[in-house]
Amino acid sequence: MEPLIQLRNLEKVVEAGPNKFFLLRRINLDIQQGEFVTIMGPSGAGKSTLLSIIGMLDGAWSGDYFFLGEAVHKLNVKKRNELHKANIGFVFQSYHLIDNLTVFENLEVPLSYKNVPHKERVSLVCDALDRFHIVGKKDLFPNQLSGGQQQLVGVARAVILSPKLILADEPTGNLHSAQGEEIMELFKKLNDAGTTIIQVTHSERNASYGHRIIQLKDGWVVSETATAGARATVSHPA
Amino acid sequence: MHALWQDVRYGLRMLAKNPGFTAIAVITLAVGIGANAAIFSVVDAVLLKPLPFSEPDRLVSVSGRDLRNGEKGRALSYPDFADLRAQTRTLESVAAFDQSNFTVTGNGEPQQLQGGIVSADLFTVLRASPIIGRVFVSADDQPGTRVVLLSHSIWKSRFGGDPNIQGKTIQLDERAYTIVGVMPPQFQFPVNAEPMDLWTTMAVEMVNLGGDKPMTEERGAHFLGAIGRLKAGVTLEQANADTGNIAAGLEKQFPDTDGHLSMAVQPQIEALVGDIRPVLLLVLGAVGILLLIACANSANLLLARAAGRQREMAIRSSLGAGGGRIVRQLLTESVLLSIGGGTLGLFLAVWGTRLLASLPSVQIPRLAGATVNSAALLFTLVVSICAGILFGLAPALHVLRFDLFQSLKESGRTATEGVGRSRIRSLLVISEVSLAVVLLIGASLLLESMVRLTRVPPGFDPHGVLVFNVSLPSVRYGKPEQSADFYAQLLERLRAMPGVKSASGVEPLPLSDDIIRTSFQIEGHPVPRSEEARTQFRTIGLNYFQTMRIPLLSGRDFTARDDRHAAPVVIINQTLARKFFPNEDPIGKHIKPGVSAAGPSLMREIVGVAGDVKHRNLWQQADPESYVPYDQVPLGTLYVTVRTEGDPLALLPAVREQVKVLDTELPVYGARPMEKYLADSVAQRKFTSLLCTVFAGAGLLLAIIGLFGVVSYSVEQRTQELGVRVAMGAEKADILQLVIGHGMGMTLVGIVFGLAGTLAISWLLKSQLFGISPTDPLTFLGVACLLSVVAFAACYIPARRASRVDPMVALRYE
Repeated sequence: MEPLIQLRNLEKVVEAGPNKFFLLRRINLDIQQGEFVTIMGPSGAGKSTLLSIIGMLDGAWSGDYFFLGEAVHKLNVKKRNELHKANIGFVFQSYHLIDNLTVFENLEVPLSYKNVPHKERVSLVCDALDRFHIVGKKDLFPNQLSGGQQQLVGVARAVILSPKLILADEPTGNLHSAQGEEIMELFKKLNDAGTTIIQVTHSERNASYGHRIIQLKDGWVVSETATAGARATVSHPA
Repeated sequence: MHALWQDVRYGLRMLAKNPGFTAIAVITLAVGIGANAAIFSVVDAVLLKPLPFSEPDRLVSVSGRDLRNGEKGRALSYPDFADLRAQTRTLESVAAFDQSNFTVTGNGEPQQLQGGIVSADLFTVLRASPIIGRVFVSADDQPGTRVVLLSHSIWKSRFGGDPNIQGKTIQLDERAYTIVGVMPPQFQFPVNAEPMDLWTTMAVEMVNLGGDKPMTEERGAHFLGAIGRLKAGVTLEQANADTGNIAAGLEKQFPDTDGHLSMAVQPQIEALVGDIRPVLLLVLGAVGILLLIACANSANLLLARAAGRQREMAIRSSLGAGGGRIVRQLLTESVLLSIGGGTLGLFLAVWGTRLLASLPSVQIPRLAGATVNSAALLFTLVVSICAGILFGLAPALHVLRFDLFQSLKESGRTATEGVGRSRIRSLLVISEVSLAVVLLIGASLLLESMVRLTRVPPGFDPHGVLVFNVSLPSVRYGKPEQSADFYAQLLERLRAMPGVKSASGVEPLPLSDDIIRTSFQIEGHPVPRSEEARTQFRTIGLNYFQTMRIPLLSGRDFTARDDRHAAPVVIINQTLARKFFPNEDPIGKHIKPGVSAAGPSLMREIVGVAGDVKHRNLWQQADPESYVPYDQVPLGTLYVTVRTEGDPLALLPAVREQVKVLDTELPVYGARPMEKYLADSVAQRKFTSLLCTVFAGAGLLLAIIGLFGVVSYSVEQRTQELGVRVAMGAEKADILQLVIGHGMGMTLVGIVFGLAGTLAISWLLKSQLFGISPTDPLTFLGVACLLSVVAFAACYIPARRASRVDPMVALRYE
């Protein structure tokens, strides 16, 4: 099967005056469809930068990036946005729900940007509410929810368009352990259902939910290891 | 007290620490408060300041009222005035007055002076005393007496402030008048007129000049103003009943001249400024709205700043500050800001008031006396403090409603603005836009009226016409044929001058505020005299219609053959023809206007019909009108009209020379282009519309700054949200739409409220409009579109910034 993501010699540089700082260096990475990958590393290693490039939110980098065989590095902004909208969902550490919108309306946001017709939109949101057991919260505003509930809505929002890939940046960073586990179980279920997940985390426990751990340091990939739960079918890059 | 002082010190330090914020808030408030203080100064000087006489509340104006059409403010005849004076039981004293020009000769160059012709008891009514000599006594009113009181300024300029002036004589119109006294510098009467140089008594009107009865014996000659002093304890209603009874008696006694006429009193101040009151109140309303917009703007600025100071307030609260203490601290800062705005506004007001008071030809009584006085200072202080509390209260109370302790614990996870504060800010912007709509529609309607008014054809062509007067002393020109001969010669000489196309004369001049109205009979349609129709009356020189380019619609113009020996003739205007000769040709018919220079009035043959001329002003319909040749009715002095080939005023020196050739003693005065009369006739309306436009422009600017500020601030506050939206798939256009939609949403709601508000109060404008309805849909639509476009531009700038938000930067805010 064709890899979901292929990165070749990917580099990210920022310039500060005469100096250049490499945030990412010669990243070569393949991620298969259905994989659950964890990116770990100390602060400043480049984890979130890598996630934003994979999520196509950041376009200022060099190297080759193939998404389902499509050369992202050759796409213009519009095409890249379309690819992103069609395939990727985000989950953030701080949930980033929109304060002035209800749970229902927050779930509607990604659908509205994909011009999903109103009827279908309502149906999709209702499905998601049902699936994540938050029907009772649909009219509440984010500040009326607990952190765990907010992240649940955040995940529901990320998957509402059934993306092929979910990118999660420290998804349990602001949650207590019970809530964190609940979210990780949710990710596992989604992964079992076929969604590829890439998470950034500092937590070994969270990492154990995935198949593979990629360690970053100073912008370099320093190691790749399979976790105990890794499935035999997942092929690891050399 | 100590705590308050501490608040003030802390407030000043906070304002100094944020110079940008402070400057914007102070300037915004200065515009609002300054405009209010300036207009208040004008209102105070024109409407509120009591008349400069003893017990001014008891001074009343007495005038005639036409019972047929309700027309008020008509002049009185001298016999009617004399009967009023004799019969009144409610007026302690009453005096009559008129104005005239006098030529002073001897003791220097001939000079044209403005004089008041008053009944001797005027100074008793006003309780005014001279600084030298005496005021008039009743003996001074007797025919043959010629006495004069000098104004302070003419005493100083013409007589060098001679302390022994009393008893000396002065040559006025070549007759000797005895100077009986000098009035103090601040004395001015009539108050609304150009300052008088001197006053003389009714005795000058009692002279029989042309073999006819003097004006003071003509009960039908209404030419006098009257002022009275109410007896102590008498109300206006009682005085009105009294004068009404007297008038009713006169009507019975003299049905021919006093039929359908009554008399009414009104406070003198009302007679003086009654007409201008709605105009000034309108302008005051406009600046009041401007101040509200400025307050809303400042409140918005404070709200934005309050968001940044939430932590500070939380710390103060945790250290034991009660809610009241925090509100006081915040209110102290807002009042400090408004006092700063008030101080700067005061400078603007002083400048603005000087500018307004110096505007020539605005024709607002007492405007020249407008200054920023202690009343205006007090007004500014009160407005500043009230404004400070008004715009400071909402942000201060909002801080109280916030969970202050919670904000100490918050890590900034919900950095976006709270719903409550956002709502208040939006409400403030909506209010600003609504108020700006009201101002803009008002100003647009006034401007449109002005434009339409200036497009009204006056019925003549004022371009290139020079107008001037020559004062003819009655000693040498008192007989009708003397003045007629003088003008005939003068016009002959003027017509021969190079650069002159034609020359003529008229009395009274169109748009000059002078008016002669008379009743007239139509031959073959006898009616009682009291039922006779009325016409405006003008006596004109040869070629008048040609000089003024008034079209002659039928018949012929006057010729040299229509002299004093020829059959009496008249030219009527279109309105008179249409109204009194419907469906028939008036040429050859006869009418008898009740005016003559000497002897009885005559039946005159209508020889022509001229086009209508807007004689009173541009916004009123033309009255029925009759023109007669000056040679047949030589009434007093003519306004000489000269159509020139170039700049009319450039011809003035040559004109003076021609007058001098005829008579070296005659001064030329009142020389102005005819266009100036036209401009002056709309000056007051222009003043109102321009003032309101300036204030509306300022209001629009403030409202748009407010909108821009709110949208910019909201973009800043929503950076994270915008980043999330981009991460969720929002494109540039989506973000633009979101931000502009937010701003335009507020604008549209504001516009709707503004339109509704304007509809509700538009009737207030009705009296100031011309040719346009106060609910003119095009104006409403135009203002809505203008505001939408400007608001769109104001929203687009922050929206563009928002659309460039880098989602990763936005998300890293955490």
